[in-house]
Amino acid sequence: MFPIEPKKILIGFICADFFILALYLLFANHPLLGERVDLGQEGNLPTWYSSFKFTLAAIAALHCYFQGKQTPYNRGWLLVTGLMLLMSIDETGQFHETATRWLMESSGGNNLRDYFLVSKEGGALLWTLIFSPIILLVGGALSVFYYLQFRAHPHLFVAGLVLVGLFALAAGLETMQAKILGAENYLDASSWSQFKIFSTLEEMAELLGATLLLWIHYSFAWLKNNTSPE
Amino acid sequence: MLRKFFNLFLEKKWLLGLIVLAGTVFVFLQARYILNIMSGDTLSKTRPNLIYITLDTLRYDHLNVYGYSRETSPNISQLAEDSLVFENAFTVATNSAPSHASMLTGLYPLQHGLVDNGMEISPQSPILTEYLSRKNYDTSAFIGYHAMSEESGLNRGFANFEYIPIASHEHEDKDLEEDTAGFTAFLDWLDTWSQKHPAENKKGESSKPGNFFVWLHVQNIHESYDPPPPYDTLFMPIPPPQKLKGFDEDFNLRCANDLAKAWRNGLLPESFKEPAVALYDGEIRLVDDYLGKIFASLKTKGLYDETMIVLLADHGELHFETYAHQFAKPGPGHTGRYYEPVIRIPLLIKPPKSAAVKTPARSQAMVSTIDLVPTVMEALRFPALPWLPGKSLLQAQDKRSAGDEMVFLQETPYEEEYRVVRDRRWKYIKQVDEQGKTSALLLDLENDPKENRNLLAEQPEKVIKMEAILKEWGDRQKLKWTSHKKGISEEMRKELIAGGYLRSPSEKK
Repeated sequence: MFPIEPKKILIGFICADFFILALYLLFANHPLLGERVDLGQEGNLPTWYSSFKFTLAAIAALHCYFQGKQTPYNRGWLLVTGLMLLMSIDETGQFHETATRWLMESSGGNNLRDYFLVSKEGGALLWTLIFSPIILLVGGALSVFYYLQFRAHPHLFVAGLVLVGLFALAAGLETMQAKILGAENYLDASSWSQFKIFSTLEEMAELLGATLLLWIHYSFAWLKNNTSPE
Repeated sequence: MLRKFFNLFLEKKWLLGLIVLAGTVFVFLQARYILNIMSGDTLSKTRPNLIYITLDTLRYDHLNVYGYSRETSPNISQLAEDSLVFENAFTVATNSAPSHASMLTGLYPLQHGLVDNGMEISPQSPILTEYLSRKNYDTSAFIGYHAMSEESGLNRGFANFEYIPIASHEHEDKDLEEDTAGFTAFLDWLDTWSQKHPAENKKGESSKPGNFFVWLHVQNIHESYDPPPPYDTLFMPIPPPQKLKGFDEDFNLRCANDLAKAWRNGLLPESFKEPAVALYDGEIRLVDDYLGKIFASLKTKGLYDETMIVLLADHGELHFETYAHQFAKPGPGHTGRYYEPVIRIPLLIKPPKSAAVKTPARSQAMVSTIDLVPTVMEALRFPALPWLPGKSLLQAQDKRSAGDEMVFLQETPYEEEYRVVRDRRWKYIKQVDEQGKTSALLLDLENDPKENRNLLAEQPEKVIKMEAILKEWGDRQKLKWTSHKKGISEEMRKELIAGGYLRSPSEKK
């Protein structure tokens, strides 16, 4: 069932993450491939790859559920599975971006834009702020759940904290990109290159975060599979 | 180590519970914070109204509320009874257009791009009027000087924008009705607005459905000091036009050019100074009387209590003060002169009743026009805009930090950039001309209140410190919009030359 060691999974996906980055850096300006490998765009290779990892993380979480004792705590893995699937669907379907665009058209969105001095062009990038209570709630709950689950494997919990940090970094960078698009001079060379750097870093943080997520779930399932039941 | 960390929470489950609880509270607060921002215009159906009254070229020390003995301003004194009066208020620019642009944007000239009269504010720069307009405020402006007309871009966001210059320039044939056309237009607008927004509660001072923001710019006090009767002789008789050495035609005290030429060339008889100031004071009294009508109208219509009134000058004025150094042009005038009578301004803020600010009150805090927009945002119950450099003046008087004890000015008149920093004791003025040549003035206001001694050479350490403060201030203003200087119209050129803001071709030679 688990033929590959977790370490190899981790190294393999990190290599794949950097391969995606290399593709982007090499072909960013290519007339045909450029958009398909652009880390900052949606609905292309990097997002499908990310979505794929979330699906794998969901499958691994489901394994964790089946391999654990049938306790109320263990049922949390079902929630995690659902969450991972939702993230996977959202990544492909860009639902949160669509919801944010819709919200930013309202007077509430106007108020947000005024408050954070973000132009219409950058409005949709404020989704991290709009959904921050939900993100914090889910992120916090996930951290507590990992803490309770990984008490025998603290290194997995530490990895969980790192991935939370990576996602927080990505959210922060996304807000900063929105700020850059709010300024009048956003099209000038220095702002644009700053925007691209932030965008690349943010997407890489997300890709690496997703890899860690997958690795944590896979490792836990693998450990459970290779040790005596609790 | 890691194990211990794990065991700690496993052994003391209440600690884990506490963390979960704290996290939940944090999430709740975060949700409230976001919702508060988003619901900015739905939390309150009716907000206070806002009126900016900007009195061009008004010296703070010529108002009774600041201790002036001649009765120039009884109605403003009356307004002060309901207001916060700021005794150490400063402008951010000595040119009218940059100064007003800062009042409307809450940004320094180097940020909004309008750094000189005749320029246009950057179309991308955020502006209070557009913000309020988006919140369904009816916006209207009555402007008395061309530098703030449509060409300046300061009309952005105003549904109604009327440029009403002082029509009469015949000194012997001044017409009160023409000189006060701006006030009349405002009063008419207020009547119309009030009819469209009838009071819900006939009895009272309660708030009305709908809101307005009106900007009334008053040009009367600006030179020439030439009020129509009866204000021309209200305070003392004025010498008639007469022969004067150095003048081919009759010298007329009411004519700005005559007055400036005579004073700067040492031709003005000493006995003419007082009448000139009396004329200036006559203009103030005229303005005050008409402001009285506006305040009365607001009260009659039941709008006074829930209207925030901000009354201030865009800059002051030099009269006949003399300075031992030749750093700037002598008076009468104001542009590019950073002496106290020019940079200090009167500032009265009558908050809306609903803001629950204790009035009357006087503040000694060092404040500037950069603080106006944050103050308005608070009084009108909008969320504070974190990117604005100023701070609200409503409640935070006792909370202003040491860093707030400084004010900054910046603009580019005559194509020379000026940056000024002033604290309670020191003032440092830095000028960079077209060729990049720098000159500076350091003044110790505590020991030299008449501003005569340039301490540049005597206080090198202080100069270094002030330079560093100015640099740090400039670096701190991250948000900047490019200025869009366009070719000015012939009308604007004429107005600017007439106002002394632009050198005529003969002067340049």
